[in-house]
Amino acid sequence: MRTRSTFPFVFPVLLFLVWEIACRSFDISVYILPMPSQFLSTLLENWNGISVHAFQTMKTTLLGFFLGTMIGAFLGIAAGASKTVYQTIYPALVGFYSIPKVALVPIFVIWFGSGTVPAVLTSMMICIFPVLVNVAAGVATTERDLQDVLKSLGANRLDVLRYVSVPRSMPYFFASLKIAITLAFVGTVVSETVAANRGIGTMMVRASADFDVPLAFAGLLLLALMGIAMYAVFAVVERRAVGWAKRDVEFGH
Amino acid sequence: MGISPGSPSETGKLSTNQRTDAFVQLSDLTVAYGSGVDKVYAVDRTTLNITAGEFVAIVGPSGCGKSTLLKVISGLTPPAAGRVTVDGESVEKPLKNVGMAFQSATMLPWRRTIENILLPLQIVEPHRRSFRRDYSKNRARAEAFLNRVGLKGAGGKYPWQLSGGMLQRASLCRALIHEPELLLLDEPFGALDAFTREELWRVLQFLWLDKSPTVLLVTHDLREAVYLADRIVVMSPRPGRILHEERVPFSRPRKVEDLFCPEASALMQRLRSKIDHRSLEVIEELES
Repeated sequence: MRTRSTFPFVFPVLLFLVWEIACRSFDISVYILPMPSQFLSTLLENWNGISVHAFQTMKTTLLGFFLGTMIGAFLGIAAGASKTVYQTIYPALVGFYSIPKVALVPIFVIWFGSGTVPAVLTSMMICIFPVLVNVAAGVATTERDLQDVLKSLGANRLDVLRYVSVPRSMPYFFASLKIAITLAFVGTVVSETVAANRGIGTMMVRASADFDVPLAFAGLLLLALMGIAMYAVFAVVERRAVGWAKRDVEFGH
Repeated sequence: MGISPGSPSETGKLSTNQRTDAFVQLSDLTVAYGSGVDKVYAVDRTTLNITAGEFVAIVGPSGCGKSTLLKVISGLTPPAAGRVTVDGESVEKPLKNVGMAFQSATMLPWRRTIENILLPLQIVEPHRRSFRRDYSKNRARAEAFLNRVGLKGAGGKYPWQLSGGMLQRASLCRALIHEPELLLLDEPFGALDAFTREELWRVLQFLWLDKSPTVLLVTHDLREAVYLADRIVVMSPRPGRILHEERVPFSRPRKVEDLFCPEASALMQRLRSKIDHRSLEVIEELES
């Protein structure tokens, strides 16, 4: 087990090593591709300044993610449980989701001004769809037999939803959370690069304007790390909450 | 095994008992599934009365037809024609006080076994209103059921941690915990090995003798029918009609060894001969 737990670190370390060696041996300019050692030291030296941006991005992302997930789950349950709701909202949602979210930011800025609100809304928008689609699939594919067990007891539609369809869709819901949280970062940063004065997105736009390429790369690294951290959090939550769906994987034995 | 006086005389004749005290009444019932060209008549213009507390087994070729019949009786599916009444009331929507068990145990995989057994109490009135308040009492009741079917201590396990036989035991507990007046069993032991099946016959008989709900059991196993039922109804293959009806005269509680006595053998022979050739093939196919 000890060796296996180190596996995830092998690839990034190797990548950074090759990167560092390549930059040094080919003498690549810092303005084109900074060495890992350069942007790591930038990250550590400027941590106080960067952390403000990181904290802002994290806060915005989590808020947008939370709102988007709630809306997505709610609509997903409705669309999965009712054919009418499904047929009514689905085509419109697909159309809506096809719009690049970056195109929405200017509109949000007109309505709410630049800053946190457009970023929260953008990450929220981006989260709704994957959660909705997954939850709807989970609810809609509830086995007839399971429903019959409840119906034969005189259960109404709400009971079936509450005791069967919704719990049954939870593995789908938690799987979608892992997709949604990583997408939420994309939404936030996209909005921050267009209209904000704080956040990793803003920081990176300023860094590239200043030709501070190591700082821009530090921003990228930070985003990746935050994404991994949140993904890991939701993977753990998933295992705790819906371990029953994974059966033999280290659960209950 | 005792034989109640005068019983073998009832053999053979189709009794059209039109008594009005029947708890479950099928009148001229036609059951179909599928639609359009794929429409299949599972049961055709059948009349059958079942008295309260009676244990009736329906034997015949197994498959979706018989399951559909049980779904119609429980109100899950509407009949194509004819009428079902339970306790004097016409069945038009799912019944409230019925217990069901199917060939697959259909446990909710996210609930522990005991929580699965408690499910009916969360749904059925009047239990659902006081479910939270009486939670410890309900739990004790579920534990008592588990003990009676030989699942002591298994309540904390998830369904996927139980064997097929254990699941069916749990399924019986769930079907009975709300003390239904009508129990509908759709080949509940069909997927089990012979020894587990016999053990579960004993368990079911034990539970039935205790509360005497009205039971309708669909099976393709003649031994199962003879062991468990008061009355056996033989149905033809689709479209199903009642071919033969027979009382099982043996006293209770019955034992598996009783099935080897001459009277039981003769009864099974007789039933078997009534099942027409076509359906017999189906049955043998299923048993192999």
